[in-house]
Amino acid sequence: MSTSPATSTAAEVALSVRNLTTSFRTDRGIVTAVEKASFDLHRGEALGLVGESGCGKSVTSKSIMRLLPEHITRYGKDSEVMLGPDNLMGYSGRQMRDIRGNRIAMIFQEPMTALNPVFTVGWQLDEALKYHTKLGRSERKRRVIELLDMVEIPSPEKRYSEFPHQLSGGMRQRVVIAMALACEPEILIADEPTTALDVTIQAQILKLMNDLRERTGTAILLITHDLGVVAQTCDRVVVMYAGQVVEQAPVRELFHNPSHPYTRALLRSIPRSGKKERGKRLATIDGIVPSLTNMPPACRFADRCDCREDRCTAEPPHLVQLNEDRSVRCHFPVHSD
Amino acid sequence: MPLLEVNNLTKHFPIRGGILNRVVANVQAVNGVSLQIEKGETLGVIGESGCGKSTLGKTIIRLLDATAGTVRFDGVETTQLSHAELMPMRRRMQFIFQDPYSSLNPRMTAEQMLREVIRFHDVVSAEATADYIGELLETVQLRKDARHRYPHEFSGGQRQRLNIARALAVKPDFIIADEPVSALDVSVQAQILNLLMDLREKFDLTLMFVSHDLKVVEHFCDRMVVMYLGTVVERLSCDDIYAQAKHPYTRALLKSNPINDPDERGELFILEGEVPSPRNPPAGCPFASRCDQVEERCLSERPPLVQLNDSQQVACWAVPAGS
Ligand SMILES: Nc1ncnc2c1ncn2[C@@H]1O[C@H](COP(=O)(O)OP(=O)(O)OP(=O)(O)O)[C@@H](O)[C@H]1O
Ligand SMILES: Nc1ncnc2c1ncn2[C@@H]1O[C@H](COP(=O)(O)OP(=O)(O)OP(=O)(O)O)[C@@H](O)[C@H]1O
Ligand code: SF4
Ligand code: SF4
Ligand SMILES: [Mg+2]
Ligand SMILES: [Mg+2]
Repeated sequence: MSTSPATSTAAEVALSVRNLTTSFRTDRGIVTAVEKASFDLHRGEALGLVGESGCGKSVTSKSIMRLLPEHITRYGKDSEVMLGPDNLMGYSGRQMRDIRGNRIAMIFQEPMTALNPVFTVGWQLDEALKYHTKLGRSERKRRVIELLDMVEIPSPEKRYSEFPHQLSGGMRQRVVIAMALACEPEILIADEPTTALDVTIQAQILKLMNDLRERTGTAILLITHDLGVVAQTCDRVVVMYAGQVVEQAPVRELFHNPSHPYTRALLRSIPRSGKKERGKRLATIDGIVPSLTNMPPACRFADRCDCREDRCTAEPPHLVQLNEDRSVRCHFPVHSD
Repeated sequence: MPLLEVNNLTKHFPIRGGILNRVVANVQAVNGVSLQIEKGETLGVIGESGCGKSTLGKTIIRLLDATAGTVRFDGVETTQLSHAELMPMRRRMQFIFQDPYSSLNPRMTAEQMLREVIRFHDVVSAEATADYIGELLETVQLRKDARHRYPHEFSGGQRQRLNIARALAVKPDFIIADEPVSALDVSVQAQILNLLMDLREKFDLTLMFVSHDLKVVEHFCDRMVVMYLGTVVERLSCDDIYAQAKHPYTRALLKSNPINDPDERGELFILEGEVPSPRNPPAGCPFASRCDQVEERCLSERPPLVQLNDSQQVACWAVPAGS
């Protein structure tokens, strides 16, 4: 994804998330997992969504897809998920089913959650095409084989009639991608698509998503906690902490010049390559992530932040635009060095 | 003399089936592994999922019995010892498990868990145990009130600290840490790695550190062995792995490892081909099905692990000895 130019504001917006707030009714009361998240996904770009376990990445993506259990989930009144001129938040369950897998597709971390163990690979892909296209039977079969071939499954005719358990983990994930691509979605949301895989297999999957994006202009929202994957594949990055978006920036600027103290601390805690670095203590972030039921009232990062001042515990910072394509939620953003 | 010397260690798991419950196949999880670990050294073990890293560790420490081969720990051959004879050895070698969630008894508090191992090995007197537990919790930087908590009341990182405390409780010389940070977020991972680095120095520990994360191994270990399909394909110093690595598989791993710098973005490196099954490993080089330098000979003859220089061994026909 190295070839794509830095995105500008002129880039066409494929999906726009505004003030997304998602809460759950639990036995501990109402917990808000995502609060006022806003970001745009541009056509043809790969946008990374990063942050530590529990910060709300999956809830964000499932809110966009409306895959959270309806009876316990509440969205904020002013929450918007704009797909073109339409706000998906106003869509009925039926309308959402037409969007899912058609205009927006999703890949999960564990491929078996998307595959049914009792049906063959070919049958499952055929079903997806039946549901979303008007193709006839033999056309569908041809298309399924084409899709399997596209995701580089060796001897696709043979694999067509195999069951998921007969495939390796990497192959299964490729089948899930083939399924997601079946209808050439405008948007692909990939939630930790390679976390369960080895690095050599991970590279195959990332390459596949990259090729797809270049060929069809599909926009990709890539959720991961692996900053190496982000550095190698994304154009822009959204960083979340404790349910909020804390920083948004083009990938180079984020890595070389992070604005939010949390982003900076996160980047510093990654082990570095080279003899000089070996055995050196790593930078850490003191303390732990606050719990959903006990959020600090002002800045959520305050009790772990080494730039904290009085104002940080008195007044919540808002996400402010630093320039065209950067924004940060911090009273005292880190200055360039 | 190295603290640990493993020779030709082999572990096969028989697969039974049919009505007679006969052995129908063998999973050749570890196949003739030899390695040494010097006192005070940290050896990294790296390789893809299923290549036999955990099985190797468990067989070394005799949580599993070897199918063949020998393990010498501080000069004593341990594979043939009886359980009674093994006991004093057990205390000197500890294992930190891959999964911090399932390796702790959910019904025991931190204190009960530590007390159990301390009393079992009689590490300190009964009266001194309570104080010693306090000391251990402090060593792994858990708060005093952690004593009375159950595993589910800890975060992932805290659970891993408790696992480390349990391993340290018996004052071992040697610890095998099986992916101790793989399940953790980077910032928590950094805390645990720092802790292990401090403890390694403070207690003069020798470590075998199993991981599939090159960045972590490079940062934390002195040397590493690269495993593929149950065998060691390369052994090298962690000083300059990018320049030193010779085996085609090690080189592929380095190239697939995503670098944390968007400026060093290149074309993603793709390793083609499938990993053979450990039930039916190929006769020749285990990496042949994915190697871009494969030759005739690789398919029929297994390349031996050859010493290139003081710090490096490689098993590949395409890497000439002395290169
Ligand atoms: N159905 C639910 N009911 C109550 N709380 C939930 C529910 N789903 C998620 N949460 C909570 O919302 C928070 C955000 O969870 P989410 O799954 O989005 O995290 P994540 O960033 O994807 O983390 P990971 O990296 O571990 O996947 C967590 O504290 C989680 O416990
Ligand atoms: N008890 C067992 N019975 C049968 N096969 C086993 C057993 N334990 C492990 N294996 C097999 O032995 C091989 C090596 O497994 P092992 O757990 O040592 O791999 P690993 O390198 O630790 O992988 P990971 O990175 O996924 O932890 C695998 O093919 C595994 O399925
Ligand atoms: S608002 Fe204050 S406490 Fe919060 S991240 Fe910024 S400097 Fe740190
Ligand atoms: S022995 Fe042959 S197949 Fe094996 S790694 Fe070397 S060149 Fe490749
Ligand atoms: Mg998640
Ligand atoms: Mg393992």
